Amino acid sequence: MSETGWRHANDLLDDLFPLRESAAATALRGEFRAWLKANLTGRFTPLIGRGGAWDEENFSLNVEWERHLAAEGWACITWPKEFGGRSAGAAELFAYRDEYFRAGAPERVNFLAEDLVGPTLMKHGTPEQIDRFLPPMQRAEEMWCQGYSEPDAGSDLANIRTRARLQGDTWVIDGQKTWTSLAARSDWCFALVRTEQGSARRAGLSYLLIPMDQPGIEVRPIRQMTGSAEFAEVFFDGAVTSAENVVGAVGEGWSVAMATLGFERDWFMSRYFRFARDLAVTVDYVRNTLGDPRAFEERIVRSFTELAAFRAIGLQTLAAHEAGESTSPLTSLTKLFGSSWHRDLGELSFSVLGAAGAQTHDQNTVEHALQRTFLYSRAEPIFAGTNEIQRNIIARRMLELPSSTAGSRS
Amino acid sequence: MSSALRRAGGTDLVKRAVTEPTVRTVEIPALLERAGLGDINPYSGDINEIAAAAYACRAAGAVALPFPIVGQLAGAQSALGLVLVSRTQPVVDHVDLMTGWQAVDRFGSRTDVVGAVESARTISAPFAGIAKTTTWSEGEISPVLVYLVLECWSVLGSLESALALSVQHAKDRVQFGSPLSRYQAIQFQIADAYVELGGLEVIVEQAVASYASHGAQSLTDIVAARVAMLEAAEKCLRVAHQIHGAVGFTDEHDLAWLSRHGHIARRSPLGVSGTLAWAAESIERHGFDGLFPVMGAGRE
Repeated sequence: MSETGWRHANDLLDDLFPLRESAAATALRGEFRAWLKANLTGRFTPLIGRGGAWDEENFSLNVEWERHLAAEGWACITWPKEFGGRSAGAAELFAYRDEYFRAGAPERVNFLAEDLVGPTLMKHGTPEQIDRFLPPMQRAEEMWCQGYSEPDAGSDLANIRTRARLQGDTWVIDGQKTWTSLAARSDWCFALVRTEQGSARRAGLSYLLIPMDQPGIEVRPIRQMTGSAEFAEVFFDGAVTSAENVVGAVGEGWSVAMATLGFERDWFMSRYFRFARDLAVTVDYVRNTLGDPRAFEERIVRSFTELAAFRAIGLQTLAAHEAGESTSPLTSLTKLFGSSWHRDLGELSFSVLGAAGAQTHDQNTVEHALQRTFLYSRAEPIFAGTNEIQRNIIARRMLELPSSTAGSRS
Repeated sequence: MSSALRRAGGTDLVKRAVTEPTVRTVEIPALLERAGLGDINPYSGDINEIAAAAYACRAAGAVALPFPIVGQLAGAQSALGLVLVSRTQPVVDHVDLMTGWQAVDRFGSRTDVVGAVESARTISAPFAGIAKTTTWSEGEISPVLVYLVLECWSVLGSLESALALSVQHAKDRVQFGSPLSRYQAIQFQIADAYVELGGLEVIVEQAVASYASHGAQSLTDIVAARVAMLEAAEKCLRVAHQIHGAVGFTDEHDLAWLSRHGHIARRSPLGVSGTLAWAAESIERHGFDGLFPVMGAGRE
């Protein structure tokens, strides 16, 4: 893939809307750029422009890359220094992610720990949990998956049926989770389960940390239309975890889970950098490969304009986050806008590929990248809260509209 | 044909075909033969013949049939079959079944398919390959028109199935104590997709009638039908996937197969923007008849 391609959209936006970057962010940017240049090379070369849960053939290398980042102080940079981070603020995070994607560095596979459960533990975990779990998370030595969705609890997360009961000093868990990304690759699962018998909806749920490597857990990978099996069904049949592995109070798991979801929607903003790269790859393909790019001009211009808006929303979200303000429902707006934008770009990628898109089995080609953009972006308006759920949140919490009659139980 | 395909397992055929080669080489050809496909000649000049071909393709599309039925019907005049390709990117579904077939480009030029350059499985097209061809020579436009029309009908069949699955899923899937189908946000999406398909159906029927009455002069109508098909596919599949959520992405679910099934048809010989440009070209050259004939050279 041409490197000039994915620099294009970012650079243009930077020229149009220059960031007044803090000195700390500029310093971090320069340092990280040099580090990436020196380190994203040699044995890590196969990961350039690739990586992530779909890239099964490079997964082990991807984990090694995560460990290398961590060992050199370039993982978990927003974490406090005492937990191995850099206490980086929003502007530094923006610069960091910008450089990361400009370099063509691989999709992160440790983000569930770094961006979701790690911050959740810092907020709700006990000192013992923090000491036990954060260091191996930071080093990418233990990988994590998220046990939320169930066959009957998707958008309606409060309908969880997986149950755990306390026997002595052990939780015993029975039930089923599904769409669990990276379950087959994970050492631990953070799961929302029902711990009070007879409880309903948001009451009586607890947030448990469950080791994956045990006889009571069976993981069945689910093959997807992207060709990979990045998510799985997870069956709990008398699975166990110690009594102390509950985050927050027993029966109060809903609010902990919502904290994680908030972090997940914050994390979604980091997609901006990936999105900018995807648009740039598309523009590059249209400019350099297609004979007559005029047919796509209008859609590309619209996409670029909206990307600028997404960037602005994202910066605002990060600023609010840094100022310690609540970013909900701003994060819902980010998620809705961004996932819809990326879905449109995916359809544009599908269009510009034309006949060439159908024969892209070589995973290193730009055609394959464009096809992945199309297939993967179809999932974005669904995961981490569907567009319908985000619209509900915006309608109720931002616009103060009444809830609809159907579904008012939530 | 629909019932014959249902009896044969419907979408199980495509799921099995990935691991069992005889599904495509033996089972389906025999099934189509028994259904009388070999007796249909869309070039006969009888509107019933091309309509029969269109309905067969719709039924095949409805189960994502892993077989080049459009090419078999469009090749009724030539030896074995005929496939419409992009000359620069001759990507073809089921190219491995096309030895002895002819390929035609969008202007009607012809060549022989003498094999596949490669036939590696891809993420969206498990039976695709690149056609190996010989020299090209001038030919007629009719096969291009028949191929395009039948392909529209095949994709229409897939989209109708995707919509039917979405309706069923919306009725069955309960979230927040109600079936999804009770939420207006879901109803509206389904209604929009339904309207889209209703429009497409009328347009592809018109394309059949136009070909039957005007033959080679129906290019504009048929390319316009392809534009409608491509746009409808984008809108309907977007809705179908959104309503299904994660389950629609899994290989266990029919939607994933239906959604992938038309990828090559939707990309080759031209995708949305290319086909729009083609339609504009054709209108400029030949005009078209709407309620009133529109400027351009016009039909004789």
